Amino acid sequence: MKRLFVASIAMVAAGALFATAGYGKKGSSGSGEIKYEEHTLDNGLRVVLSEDHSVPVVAVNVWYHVGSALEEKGRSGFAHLFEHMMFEGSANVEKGDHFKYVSEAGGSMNGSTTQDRTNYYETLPSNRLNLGLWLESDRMRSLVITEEKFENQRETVKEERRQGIDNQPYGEAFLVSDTLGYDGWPYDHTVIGSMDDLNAAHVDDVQKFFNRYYCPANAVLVIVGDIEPKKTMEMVKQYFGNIPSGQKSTFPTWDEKFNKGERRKVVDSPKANVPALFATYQIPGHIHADTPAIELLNTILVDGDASIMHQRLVKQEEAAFGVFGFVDGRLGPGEFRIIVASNNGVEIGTCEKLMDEEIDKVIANGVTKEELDRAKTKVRSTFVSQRETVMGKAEEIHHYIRFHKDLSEINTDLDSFMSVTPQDIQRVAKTYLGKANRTLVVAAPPKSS
Amino acid sequence: MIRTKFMGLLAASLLAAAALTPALAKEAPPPAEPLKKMAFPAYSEMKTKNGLDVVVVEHHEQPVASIWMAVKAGSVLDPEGKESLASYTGSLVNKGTKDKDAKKLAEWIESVGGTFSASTGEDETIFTIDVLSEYLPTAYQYLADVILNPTFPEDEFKEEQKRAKTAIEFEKSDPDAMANRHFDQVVYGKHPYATHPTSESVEAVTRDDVVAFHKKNYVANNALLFVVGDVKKGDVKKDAEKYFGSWATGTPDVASYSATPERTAKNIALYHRPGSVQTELRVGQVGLRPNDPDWPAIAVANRVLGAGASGRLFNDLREKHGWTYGAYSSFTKEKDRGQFFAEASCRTEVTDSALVALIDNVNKMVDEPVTDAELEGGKSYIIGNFPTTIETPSQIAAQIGQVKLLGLDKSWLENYRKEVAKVTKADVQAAMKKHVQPGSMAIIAVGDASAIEDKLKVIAPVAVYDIDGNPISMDEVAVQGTDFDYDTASLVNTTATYSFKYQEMNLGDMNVTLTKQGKEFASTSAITGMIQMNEEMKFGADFEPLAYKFSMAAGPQQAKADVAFADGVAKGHVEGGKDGPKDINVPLVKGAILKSAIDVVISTLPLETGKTFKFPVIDAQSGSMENLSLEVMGEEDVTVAAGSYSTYKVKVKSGEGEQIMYVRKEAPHVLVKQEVPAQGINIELKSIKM
Repeated sequence: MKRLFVASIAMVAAGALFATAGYGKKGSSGSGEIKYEEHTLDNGLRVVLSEDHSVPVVAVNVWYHVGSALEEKGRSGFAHLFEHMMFEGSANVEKGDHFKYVSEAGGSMNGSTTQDRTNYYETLPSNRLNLGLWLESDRMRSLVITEEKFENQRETVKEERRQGIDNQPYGEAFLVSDTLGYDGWPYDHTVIGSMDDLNAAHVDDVQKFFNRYYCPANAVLVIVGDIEPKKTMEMVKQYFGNIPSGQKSTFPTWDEKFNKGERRKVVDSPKANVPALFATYQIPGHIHADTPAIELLNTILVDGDASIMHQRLVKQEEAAFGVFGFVDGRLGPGEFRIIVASNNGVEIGTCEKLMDEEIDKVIANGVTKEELDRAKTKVRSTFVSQRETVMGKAEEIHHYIRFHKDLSEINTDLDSFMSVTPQDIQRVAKTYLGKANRTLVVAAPPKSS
Repeated sequence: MIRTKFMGLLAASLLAAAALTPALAKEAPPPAEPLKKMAFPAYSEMKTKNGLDVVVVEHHEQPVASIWMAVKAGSVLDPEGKESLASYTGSLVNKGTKDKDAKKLAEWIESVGGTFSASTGEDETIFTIDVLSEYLPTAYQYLADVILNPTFPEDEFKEEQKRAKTAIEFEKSDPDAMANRHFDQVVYGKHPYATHPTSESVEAVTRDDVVAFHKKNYVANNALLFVVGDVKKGDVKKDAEKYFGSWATGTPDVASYSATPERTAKNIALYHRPGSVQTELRVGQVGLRPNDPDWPAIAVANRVLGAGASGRLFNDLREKHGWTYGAYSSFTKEKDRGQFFAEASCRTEVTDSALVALIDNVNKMVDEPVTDAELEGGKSYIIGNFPTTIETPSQIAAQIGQVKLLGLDKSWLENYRKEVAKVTKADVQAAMKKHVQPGSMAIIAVGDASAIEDKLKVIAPVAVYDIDGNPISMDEVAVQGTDFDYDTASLVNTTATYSFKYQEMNLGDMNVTLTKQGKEFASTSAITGMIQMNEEMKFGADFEPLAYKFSMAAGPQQAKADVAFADGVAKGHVEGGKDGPKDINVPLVKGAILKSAIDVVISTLPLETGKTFKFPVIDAQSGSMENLSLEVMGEEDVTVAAGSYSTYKVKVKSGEGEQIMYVRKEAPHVLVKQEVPAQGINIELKSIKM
C-alpha cells in the first residue's frame, strides 16, 4: 500500500519508511481475530503467546520499550546505533554467529528502531523455537561490548546514513519534514541521528544504555506460531527466568501544542531533479479516539488511483508526477503526511495550491459515502493481509500493547474504523488539516542553467 | 505502527559480519528438536463439465482468498518471428472486455480492494487475484470477464507494443539481462526455452495474431483454476461451473520441446559491450527435468555451491577476493529441462580470475565430496525454510501450482523434506557428477572485449559477438585510429530547430547552433519541454575534440557529463550513464572525433551512394571509445516542416546500435531527418538559418 511512485522516483530513504506505512490500520471484529494468552515472569518480562498451527513455523519477536525519544541530548542516533551492537555478540554468541545460527535453521531475522521502540525478531521452523529463545535471552542477559566492535558499528551506521539519507534525492528533506513540527526533544531529532552526535557517542554509553533499557521489565516477548503454550512457557522460564529484572522505562511527556502556525522550509536537494513538497500535519498520539477517522481521511486523500489528490493533481491537472502519504501514529503526537512530487517543469507552488484546494474542499464539504466505503474496504483488506503470517501477527500484538489502551483492542479495533461516518472525516479534517497545524518542506533541486 | 527504518542495511552489514570465522562459543545453542511433520494443507481436485481443472485448498486462517488461473499458453507457443505473442495476450486481457474499458475494469477490481496481475512464463501465463473472501464473487466475475471476453482494443494493443519495444531497448543496456538472454540461446539452441523477444518480433505481432492466439489457446481444457484460502470446496465447485461453465473448449497449440544441443567442449561466447566496467559471467549448461529423483541431492549441492550468501561462491569471489558484490549458482526447474549456472558480475580487470574461480568451484563440487558441516547446513536450511514458504494462501497456491504445472507427483510436497533429510555426501557428489559436465560447460561473458578477450582465451576458446549476438572480429572491436583528412573549411555559422519525438510523443523542440570561433567551432543543442537537455561542445579545425558538456533530465532520469580534452586524453566526470557516476581518463586514438558531432562531420564529407566511412569516436557521455561506421544507402526525397529536400540516406552504426540520418544532398549536407528505430526516436528539421 501507498508505495505509488516511491520506486520510480528513487526515494529510497523515504521508501524504507513508506513500504510498511499502511500498517497503521488496525482492528478486527470477527474476521482476522487473533487469540492469545498473556504471562508475566517473576522478573517482569511480559510474554504473549499465540497459537497458529497452520504451518510448523514460529515467530520470536522482542520489543524493548526504548527508542530515539529516550535518547539523551547530544546523543541523537544512539538507540539505533545500540541496536546494531545487539548483533555484535553476547556471552555465548560470537560476533556474526547470530546470523549463521538462524540461517542454518532455515530462518530469517532482523531488527529495527523507531522513536518509540526497538525490535528484534526471528522467523524459524517451529522445532527451532528453542534457538530463537536462546539467542534472544543471551543478548537480553549479556552483551559483549568492545571498543573495536563499537567503532566498527559506528562507522557502519554512518555509512548507512550516507547511503540511506545523504545520498538519496529526498533523504534530507524527509528527515527535516519528520522533525520540523516538534518543539520537544523526544521527537525533534531523527532516529538515525546527526553525524556529530554519532561521532560524540562513547563506548561506555553502550553498557549504560544496555543496563538501563535492555532488561525483562522493559521488554515484551511475543511468540506466535506452531507452539504448545505450556511447553513454550517452560522454555521461556528456562531461558529468561533468571535474567535480573531491571527497571521499566517511562515514556517522556512534554507540551506539544497544536496549531503553532505554519512552518516552512526549503531544503536544497542536489541529488533530486524534480521538486517535491512534504506537508506534515500534527495529530494526537495513536491512542486518541480520532485515529481511525484520521487514517481513513489519509487513505481517501492519497491512497490509490481513485484517491482525491491523485485524481486532481496527477490525472486531471497533470501537475504532479505522484502523490502519496501515510499516517505516522506514535505514542506522543504523530504526523499526517502528504508528499507530492511535481511533474517536470511544473512549479511546486502549483502543486501546493491544488493540494490546498482539495483539502479545503474536504473541510468545507466533507467526503462522499462511496469514498469512505472504498477506504474502509482497503483498510479491512490491509489489516487482514498483515495478519496472514506469524511474524505479522507478532508485530500486531506488540503494536496493540505499545500503542493502544489494551491488547484486547487487537480484536475490536476494526469496529472503530467501520463506524466512522463522513461527518467524522470532515470533523478531523477541520481539526487537524489547517495550515497553522502543519509544516511544509520543499525539496528543491539545483536550478538548471 | 511498524517502522522498518534502517533494516536493509543492517541486514547487509550482518551478512558481512557472518563471514568472519567465529571462535568457539562458550555455550552451544540448544539442539534442534525433532522435526515436526509438516501437514501440507490438503487439497482437492475437480473438473468442470467443460474440462477446466480446479484445485481447492481450504485455509481458513484469515478471511482472504487467492485465485490463480494458469493458462497453458506461455512463450514456448510463440511462433518463430513473433516472439512475445503469448505475453502480449496475457498483458492485454484486462485492457478491455465486451462491456468495459481498461479504466472501468481497474475501478471494478479496486473497489473491492483486490489486486490483479498477469505474468507470462515459458510454459504458461498466470493470472492472480488476491481478495477478501467476501468479495470472491466480484473476483470470479472479473476474472471470467477478462479471460473469456477480452476485446484487445487497437489503441491498447499499440500502447503495449510501445512498452514492449522500450523494454527491449532497456534490456539491451542491462548486461545481466543480456547475459541471461545469450546463455539461454547458447544452452537451449533450437529448444523453445531459448527464445526471447526481439525489436523485430515485437513489431511483427499484430492485433489479429493476439485475437487468434487467445481464441485457440484460452480454452477451458487448457487451463487450471486454483482457489485457495477462506473458501469451501463445495462452493468453489459450484462457482467454477457458474462463472466458467460457458467457457469454450478447443484444441490448443502444443509445445514441441526439441532436443537441446549436444555440447562437447568448454568454450566462451564473449558479447562485446564497449567501455563496460564490469563483466557479467555465466558458466553452465542444461539441467534436470522436473521429476528427476536427484533433485534433493542437487538442491543440497546448490546450497553448498552458491544458493546464498553462505555458499562457496559468495565466500570465495566476494568475501575472500572482493571481485564482485555477489556470486551465486542455480538449478532451475522447468516443465521440460531446466538449466544450471554459476554467475557473477565482476570488475573488468579481474574477469579472468573470477571466471577461473567460478569454474574451479563447480569442478570441486564434482571432484570432491562436500564437508559434513556443509552437508548438514545445506540440508537444515532447505528443510527448515520450506514451511515458511507456505504461510499464506497465495504462497500455498504457488507451491501446489508448481507441482501441478510441472507435472510432479502429488506426493512431492509431502516427501520433499524427507528426501532431503536422507541425502548423503556421496549422493551430493554423485548427483553433481551425473548432471554437470565441467568439461563442456557453456561460458557467457558480457563485457568489454577489447579489455578481456586476450585474458579469456587462455581459459577456453573465445568467440566474439556484438551485444545482439552477431559474430564480430577483434578488428572490429579494437578502436582504430584514422588518417582521414577531415575538412572543416565548408562549415558556416548555423542555427536550426528540430522537432524531437520519442515513441510518437512530441518531447519538444531541439535548437542546434554551430558557431565559428577563430579556428575553433562551438556547437550547442538544447531541448526544453518534457525532457530537458543541454549539450555544448567545442572542436578544432580537424574536428579534434576540445570540450564537452552535457546535462539531461527526463522525469526521474538524469545524466550529465563534463569532459575536457588535452594532450590526446579525455578527462572528466560523467553521471547517469550505463555504468553510473564515474571519472574518466581515456586516451584518444588518432583522428578520434566527438560522437555527438557526427552530424556536423557528415555535413562536410564527400558523400556518394554506396560509399562507406569509419571513424573512431569518443562517446563523451560515457567516456568510452568506439568505432562508428557510415554507409550511404541511397538517395531519397524527404519532406519535413522546413521544406522538401533531396537527401542521402546514411546508415550510422555504433556500439549502441543503428540509426538512419537523412542529410541534404547539396553540400554542406545538413541533417534533415534522423530516426533511431529501436528507440522510437524521430527528429525532423523545422527551420534552419545558415
